[in-house]
Amino acid sequence: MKKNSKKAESYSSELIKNLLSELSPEEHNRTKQKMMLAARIDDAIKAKGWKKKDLAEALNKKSSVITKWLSGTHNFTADTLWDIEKVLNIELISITVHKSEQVTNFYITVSQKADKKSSDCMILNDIDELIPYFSTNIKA
Amino acid sequence: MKYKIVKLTDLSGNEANIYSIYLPDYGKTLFEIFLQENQNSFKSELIDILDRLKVIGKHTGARESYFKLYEGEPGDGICALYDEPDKSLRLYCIRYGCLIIILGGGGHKQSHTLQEDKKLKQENYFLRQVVKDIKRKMELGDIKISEDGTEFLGNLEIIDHEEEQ
Repeated sequence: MKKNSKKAESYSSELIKNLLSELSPEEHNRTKQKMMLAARIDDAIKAKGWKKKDLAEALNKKSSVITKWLSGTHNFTADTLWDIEKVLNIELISITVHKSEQVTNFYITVSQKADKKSSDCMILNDIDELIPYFSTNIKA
Repeated sequence: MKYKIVKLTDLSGNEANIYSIYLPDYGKTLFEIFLQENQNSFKSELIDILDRLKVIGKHTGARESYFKLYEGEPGDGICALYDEPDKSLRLYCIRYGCLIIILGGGGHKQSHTLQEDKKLKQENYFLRQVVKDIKRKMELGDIKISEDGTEFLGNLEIIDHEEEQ
């Protein structure tokens, strides 16, 4: 092995481990998210061909504020994130609204012919009463 | 003074390797000394620092924006992990791109300027010497950075100039 190809000695510290053990997974995840958010904004600034001062001017902020934003330590408000999104043309906050779909047209196939005289035969007049009995043959 | 560059496995990861300076006379690294000196008074800040370093090692790499740059001489890579004005501690590092950082020491910020703060000045200037030592060893071919930019390779034990003579 060449003299300059040997890797550095691996070093594990009980002190580092003990201090890190006081960090909850939730706290660490929050830190990770803040730092990754900062990275995303930083990448978007560069993708636009801008420097920090350009973002500062666009948002009427001091450069020191942008520096703090990109440090990975800042807690952003939703308003600030929306302003940044608009200026950098990126998505930082994703909001999805789920709408319930109303089924208006459907047909039901019945696998067995009903015997009205059978004790376990049910006669239903309201379509809603059929819902618990829907089979996989239902199509809307 | 004799020291060696070691990789901190508790913080290093796929995105960056985090090193520190092991001092045989003390039996610990510069970074551990920093932690010990400040854990009674500033424990929560230390945990925050460790938290961010762990994210750097395992998730994001040592991005420029996570540091205050130009804390040493021009081009030497000495920086400080970003600290807000209302935070008490400063940690000095040497940054070799996004993939390698060497953690030094630091301390409690008490003055406005480095020159006024004896402790921080001492820590900062020690790292300036480390940068010069590494540069010299690289010029001699004793140390290099791996082709993928993630590792220091070679003889990472640094002997004092006086001892060499």
